[in-house]
Amino acid sequence: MAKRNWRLAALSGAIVLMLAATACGKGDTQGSSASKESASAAPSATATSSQETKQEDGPLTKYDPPIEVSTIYWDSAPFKFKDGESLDNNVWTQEYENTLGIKLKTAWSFFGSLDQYIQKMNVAIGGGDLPDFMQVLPAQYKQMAAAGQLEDLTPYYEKYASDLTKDILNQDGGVQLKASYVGGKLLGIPHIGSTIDGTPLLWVRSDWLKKLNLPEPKTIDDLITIADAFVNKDPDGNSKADTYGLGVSNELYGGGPGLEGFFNAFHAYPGGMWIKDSSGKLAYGAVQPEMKTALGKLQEMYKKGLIDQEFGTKDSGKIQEQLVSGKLGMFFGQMWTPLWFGDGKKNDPKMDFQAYALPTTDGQPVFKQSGFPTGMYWVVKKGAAHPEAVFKLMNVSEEKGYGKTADATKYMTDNGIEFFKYAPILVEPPRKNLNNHLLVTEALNSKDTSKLNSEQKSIYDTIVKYQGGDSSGWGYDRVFGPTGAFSVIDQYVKNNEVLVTEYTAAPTESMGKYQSTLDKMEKETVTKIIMGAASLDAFDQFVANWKKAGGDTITKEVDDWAATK
Amino acid sequence: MHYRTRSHTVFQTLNYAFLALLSLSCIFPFIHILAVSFSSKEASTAGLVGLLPVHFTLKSYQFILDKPEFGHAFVVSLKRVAIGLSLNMLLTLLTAYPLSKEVKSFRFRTGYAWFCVFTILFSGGLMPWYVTIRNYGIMDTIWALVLPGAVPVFNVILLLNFFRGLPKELEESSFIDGAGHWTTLWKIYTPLSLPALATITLFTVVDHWNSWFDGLILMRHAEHFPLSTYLQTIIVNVDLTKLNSVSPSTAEMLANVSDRTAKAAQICVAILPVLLVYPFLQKYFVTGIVLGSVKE
Repeated sequence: MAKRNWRLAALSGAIVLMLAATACGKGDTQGSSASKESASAAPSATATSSQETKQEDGPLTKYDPPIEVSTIYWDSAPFKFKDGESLDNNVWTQEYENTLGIKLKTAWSFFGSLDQYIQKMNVAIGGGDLPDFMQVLPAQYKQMAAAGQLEDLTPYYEKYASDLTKDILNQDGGVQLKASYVGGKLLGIPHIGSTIDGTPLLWVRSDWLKKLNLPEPKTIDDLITIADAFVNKDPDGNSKADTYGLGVSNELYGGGPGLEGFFNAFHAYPGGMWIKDSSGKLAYGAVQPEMKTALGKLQEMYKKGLIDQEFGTKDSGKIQEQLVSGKLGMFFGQMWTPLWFGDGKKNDPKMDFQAYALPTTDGQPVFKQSGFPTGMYWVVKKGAAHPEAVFKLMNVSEEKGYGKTADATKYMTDNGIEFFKYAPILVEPPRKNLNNHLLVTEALNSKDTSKLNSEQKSIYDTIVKYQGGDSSGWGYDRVFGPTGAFSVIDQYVKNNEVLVTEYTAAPTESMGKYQSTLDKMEKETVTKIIMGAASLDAFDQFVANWKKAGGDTITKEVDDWAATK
Repeated sequence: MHYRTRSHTVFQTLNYAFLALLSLSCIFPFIHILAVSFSSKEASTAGLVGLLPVHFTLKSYQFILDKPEFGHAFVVSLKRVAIGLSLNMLLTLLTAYPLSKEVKSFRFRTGYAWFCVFTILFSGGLMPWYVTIRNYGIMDTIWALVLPGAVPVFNVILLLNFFRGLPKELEESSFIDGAGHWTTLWKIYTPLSLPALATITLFTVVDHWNSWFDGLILMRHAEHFPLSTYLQTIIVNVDLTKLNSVSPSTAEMLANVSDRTAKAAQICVAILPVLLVYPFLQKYFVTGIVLGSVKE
């Protein structure tokens, strides 16, 4: 009996020890996080001591002693690294440390979808758990600005942004930078996007066009002729009626495929666009009368079977599937789409797509819509020890990426490893892709590659390989090649046919409240009308409902905003 | 014999047919995923794969082996299950035993029981949960995944009721032989509850293996993600309508994101451990251990 009791005591003792161990585990991490806090508090103390040297402080002045700045890394897929490199130690962190005396610290990193990043970010913002600087979405930018969580960057922009940084931020005429001011203060640096890269194009299977002796799609009537032939004349030659005319997904809008291009041909601008109406006031594109004409045409096409009868249940993933399996020959989409369904070329080497400018209905110039391109803002946490550091980091990033001392193989990409992703703040010049096309095309004609940087050189090599018969470079040829998507976009730009949305600020209050409901309403109505489940006149009812369900309030807010601009 | 009647035969046939269909509908998606994982990328992107692989290849499994993220996440998940399971089982036993006693031997039993049940009915919500865990200083550690759910109340209630179903006489005789509560719990109750404990073990393992949301929110570095969180980040579809303008490198990424073969292979490997645990626990799902232990 005594023996038994001893074993019992040992068992209970073990349990107590185990519990204590877990408690210690907690204690340990608590201790280490406390020591981290004191470590990050230290630089702010040194900052005050170095203030006497501040008069010569400029865009590239080195911190001595070095400071620590924390940030967040986010991307859709994990980064690849060279051997021995990591997020905390790579060519960019070394560059920042050597030239600026800034040690970057990863507060957290996340690789996954945008929605998940938003979720994670929202919790961090709510919990006040923020690093020194980070990337946030427009809605979060607005919310953080209202909550006073952001440092005012206005004075630092003037003093610390280098000429190159300022130039890149203003390449679009300063529209996006201006739109980032909240109440006269610059609370974040906009991630300037390109207004031309997102314009819609008409992609058509050129091998089918040739095979069936069809005209190039210059007008909507041509487009209908082509769609009809693609559906009824068995373009893939398998004697089965298994091909589709015009690709439409149940999302209706978007980069691939999206109906924006079709609507633009009718001078209608859906998909969140704000345009100037005849009186000069701002109006919502999706509720204008031009929409109705375009919808009538789509309804007609659907009735004739030129649009997949089940498009209402098929998302863009399904469209990709149809493209890769060679069942779909025409859709409206952005310039990058060939890279997205390039596997189709491997399944069928005969497959070829050509980008065309949007067709017309009346011979008038067709404007190509482009949404507001700022997707993200870099913001600095209120109370960060060195708010100006974000500009210094950006100066170095832009210089090494796109400046005079740029070295693309060292800092951007090499051997399929993308170093530029490790730079926590980097804006590509909005015209970069177009310039790549122009320079690569020039080099392909002259065989002189001396003017190309390493990114352009790699595109050049890929295209040369493709012309030599290697089909894996097909996508790049279709995007950047001499007759690729950018040759069409170049025409858009030259003809001044890019129409950017007029509303360029973060979502207004009532947009936050009503927009998703209104979008749902719009999607339902448009889908029903195309499928013939509702008559064309249902559009008028929709416009009336749209106004009542918050559209008028939003329009008023947008008007007020335009007045203060 | 009554089960030879015609209506009975009809019922049996229909019943079996229905159950067979039901189980097939459960197993088909899995077979499809398995087939996709062994198919070539081009075939699966073109939607040609059904229940058999097209252009058989082991490429996607090779891809997993080359991917450090998958290995990291797998180890984190194993760690989570190991620590989480031992902690959960221990605390479940220690909580269920006293709560299974009568009020006359444990006066505050009802109060404690309701205290526990309350947490099933109400939760603090996302932000308080996050802030609490942050203030404990366990963010970004394995403890953030196992400590918040260390006392699974639902399992406690299961076990508590199982304890109550055990014959009182066993406990009484153990007390008469001079055992205390400790000995009674470990030597009498625990061995007799193996079927219940097996069930709870299974719940706990599957639960820890599958939960992804806490990993997503509480882990600060991608390499600390448990497997299901990691899978969640690669499997969710990218919504093309949300991308305003896409750079060519993003577009290539999109092409890879739609790479169903790699995803399928990772799902198949992730399912394996849980699949392996089931048969080993099956033998404990035998009831009636206490039958005949007491003569009344």
